[in-house]
Amino acid sequence: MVINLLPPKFKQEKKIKKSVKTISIFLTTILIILLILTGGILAADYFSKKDLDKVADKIAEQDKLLLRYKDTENNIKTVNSKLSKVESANRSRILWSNLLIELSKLTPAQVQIKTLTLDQRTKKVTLTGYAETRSDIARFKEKMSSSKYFKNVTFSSSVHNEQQGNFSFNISSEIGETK
Amino acid sequence: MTSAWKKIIITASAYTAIFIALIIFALNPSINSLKQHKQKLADSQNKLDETYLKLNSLQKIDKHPEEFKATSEVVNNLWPDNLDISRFIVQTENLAKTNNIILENFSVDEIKNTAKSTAKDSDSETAKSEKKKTETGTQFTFSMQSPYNSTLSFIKGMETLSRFNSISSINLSGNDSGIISMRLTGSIYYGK
Repeated sequence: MVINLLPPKFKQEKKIKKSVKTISIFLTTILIILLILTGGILAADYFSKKDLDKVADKIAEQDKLLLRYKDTENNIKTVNSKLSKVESANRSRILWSNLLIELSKLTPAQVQIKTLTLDQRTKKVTLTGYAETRSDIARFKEKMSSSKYFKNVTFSSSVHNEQQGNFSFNISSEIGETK
Repeated sequence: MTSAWKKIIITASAYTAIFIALIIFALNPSINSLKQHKQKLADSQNKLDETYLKLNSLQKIDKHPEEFKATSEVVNNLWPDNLDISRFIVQTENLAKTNNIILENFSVDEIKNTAKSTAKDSDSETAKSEKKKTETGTQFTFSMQSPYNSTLSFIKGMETLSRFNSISSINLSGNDSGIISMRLTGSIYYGK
């Protein structure tokens, strides 16, 4: 059996002192952990800065080497720039030969084309010609309408030529696909 | 309040002040600095890789200059630095000769900017924005008379000529003898 003879006031103070000590130890531990963490981060930062300097040195080294090939680099840039210009101009270019070949395929034997105008700016095709009958003209117009190379084919007029015994006609259309 | 309690409060306050100071003045700045350095390091590493690739490509090209020279010649023929009309005339004359055609009229307009167009660049970052391109070029006009097949062959030849050109208009008119008169207008381009 233990008999505590200390007065209650001292007992209380002793208890508080013990608590203060425990709290101090706990807080000191946290402080040490925080300090270690900060130290670790500072060290990592220091090393990453060193790595950064190393990479910067390497880049500077490579840049120096690149200077030797400056002429080649400029030539490549010029070639690439020209190629992109060719590509851009080629996009709006119309391959007229495809259109002419298609037109010759579509033209029936009874139809003869007299004049043909192809214009990239207006994207229009206008043609005049002769045909034996108006039905031949109509068939020709229908054939043109069904081709991907021509769109919005319009038949303007047909006139009967008594002397030649045929019909002259005008057809116009917009340019469709040509590639 | 007893002195013991005072001691507890003072100790806790002191520690809190130290923690806050440590976090604000040491831990937080060092974390931010580390983040920044890591980001910079990653960017620099990417730049270094790109530089390596570029250098390797340039070294390869420099080792085999004849390949690049050939490509460069083809491109310079397509799109020369200067107007170089003489070469174009020779090329078209040769093409006409091959197809038994005599070019009756050959004229070249004043130098001007042509093919002013808005083009969309689809395979790069600039795809987001439309950019205006103006190519320097000049207009040419031919007129000739020849049978249909020769005319067609000439037009095909123009489309595959080593000098890039674009035909803007063609006027054809035929007569009963099967000879076609053609007037052709187009543009050739140049410049770096």
